[in-house]
Amino acid sequence: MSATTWDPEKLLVDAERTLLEEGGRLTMDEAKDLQQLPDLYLGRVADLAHQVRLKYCGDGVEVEGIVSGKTGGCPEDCHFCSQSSAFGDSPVAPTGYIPYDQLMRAAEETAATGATEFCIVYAVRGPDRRLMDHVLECTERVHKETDLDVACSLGILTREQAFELADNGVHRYNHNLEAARSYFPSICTTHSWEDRWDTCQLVRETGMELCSGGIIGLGETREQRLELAFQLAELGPHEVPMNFLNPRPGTPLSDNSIVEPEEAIRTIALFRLAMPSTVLRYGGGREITLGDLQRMGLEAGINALITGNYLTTLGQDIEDDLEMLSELKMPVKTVSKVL
Amino acid sequence: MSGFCPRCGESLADHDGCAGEAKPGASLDPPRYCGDCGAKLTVQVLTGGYESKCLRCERRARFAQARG
Repeated sequence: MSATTWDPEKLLVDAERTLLEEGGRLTMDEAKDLQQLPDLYLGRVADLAHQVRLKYCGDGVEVEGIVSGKTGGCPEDCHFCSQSSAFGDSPVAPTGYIPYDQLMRAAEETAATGATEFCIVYAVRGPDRRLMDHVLECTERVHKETDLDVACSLGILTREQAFELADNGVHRYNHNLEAARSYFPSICTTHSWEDRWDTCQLVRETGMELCSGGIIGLGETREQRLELAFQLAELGPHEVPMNFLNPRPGTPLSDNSIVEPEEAIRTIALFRLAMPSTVLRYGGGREITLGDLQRMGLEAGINALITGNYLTTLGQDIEDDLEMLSELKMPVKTVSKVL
Repeated sequence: MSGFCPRCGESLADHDGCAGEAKPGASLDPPRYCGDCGAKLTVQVLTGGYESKCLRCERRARFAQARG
């Protein structure tokens, strides 16, 4: 950004023309200029992101529920995660696979919210045969008892595993990049960013929808937040979950600060501007990061949310989420399966 | 006071408030330690509540969040 040519109004007008009139995309430099605008312009950037969301995605909001299929005991050392066995101080005790009665209770609670998707998440590096059998059984049971689409998250996949999931009715696979490529080695040493990228590419090959996002507030710079947004844009997932760090006791990031609300809104807006047509989903940490400003995030680019509880922590009341959407006149998207 | 802190597992008899309670988001954390014996709990968080079981005394608890 040159001091002699810096004109906030022009930056905004140019971005609006590119995204809304020409159907084009912002470059990373253009997004960086918008990121550096003073807080005075945050409302304008957020409003542009909202207009982009409405143009490319409409006003509907997709709702999803998630459940932990196996909690704790993970051999990976993702520094933000309370489920890693590398951090002995975490109070999260490991469990076996979720019993089917509990799983179905969570699925039915999810279906009752009007959600269309139910994601089962296992704390593992990758699946073995036993886990594959468990998740396929879970998928079959959820399909039999509800109208929910099933998503799952099992870590790093082989080609055979990816196709087996797709062939057995798994609709969407979650595998987050978590952080920008340049920052990932600072938050995980047991696998690489490229390992994650490769699994994401495999998922796309199978025809399953790819869900891949990250966590804001891991200690990355603002530039690295944009770097992640543009790496996700290059990856091209169907959906990007945006999580905000909720520092977990006993993890290396337990003393990290919560992301400031204005910065969270700015980051949401920039993710939307970088990925105009992608589903941007509110994930974990939105309650403590944004509080009452969660509504603003939905008017700054977010068009989906995880409702109810998370994997190891609780979320805000489901009714509060639905009331928020109602007040914003954002209808919950219904299942629209092609027969 | 008898029993154990659900956040850190320390005896409430000599427990002068838990540092964890002051952390942001503490109200969104389910209990992690048994209030009866102080041992860790396994906790299965579900969409609308959670279920826990003590690893030592095997006491089970189920909590359904109020709707609305």
